[in-house]
Amino acid sequence: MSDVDKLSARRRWLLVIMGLSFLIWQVSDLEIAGQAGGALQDGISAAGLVGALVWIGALVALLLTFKRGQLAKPVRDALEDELVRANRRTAFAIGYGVMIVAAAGLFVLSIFVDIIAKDALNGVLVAGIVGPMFAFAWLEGRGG
Amino acid sequence: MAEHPDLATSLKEHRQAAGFTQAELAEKVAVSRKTINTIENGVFVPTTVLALRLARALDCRVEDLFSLKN
Repeated sequence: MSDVDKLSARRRWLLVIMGLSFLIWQVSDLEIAGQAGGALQDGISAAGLVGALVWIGALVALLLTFKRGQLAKPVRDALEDELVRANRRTAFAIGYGVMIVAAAGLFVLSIFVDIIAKDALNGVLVAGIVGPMFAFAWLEGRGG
Repeated sequence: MAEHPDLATSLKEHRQAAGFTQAELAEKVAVSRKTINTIENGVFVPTTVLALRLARALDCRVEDLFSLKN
């Protein structure tokens, strides 16, 4: 496996880890999660804290690994070639679709149950951030 | 650019005939090995610029590498 393949795989996994940890962090921060009470509430808070720490760690690892000037130009070019740029564009388009579906789903749900505005906004925000991350990781995984 | 149902490619045959591995060809045209693999498998359709670079690297015409199925 070449350096480019290794770095590409590392970027993919870091994005998956960041997406999952961000999801856990944000879900634990929902108002509805705060109403759990007791040991469950403690567990949710602990999971949220772990999620936030893992997200920060993965973000630092991502920034350090792909720091500008650290990689040789041919490696940098290959890591940002036209397939990567096309995958990024597709991932953002998928993320937009996921966000619209999340917003529509929450709207329909709000007809039947009361939804806290902060939770709804959080849900849409998380869908809009995590959707493209997972989509990009999936698209980058194609082609071996 | 996404996969296109009308496009056929013979990049793999030309690359192998030239004696290059995917990694070697990728290095010559400044992309990743995965990009070459996805083009060969029809998962990714390259831009005109990359198609021209590939043709130059393999000493052939773009039409030799890519054609319409019908």
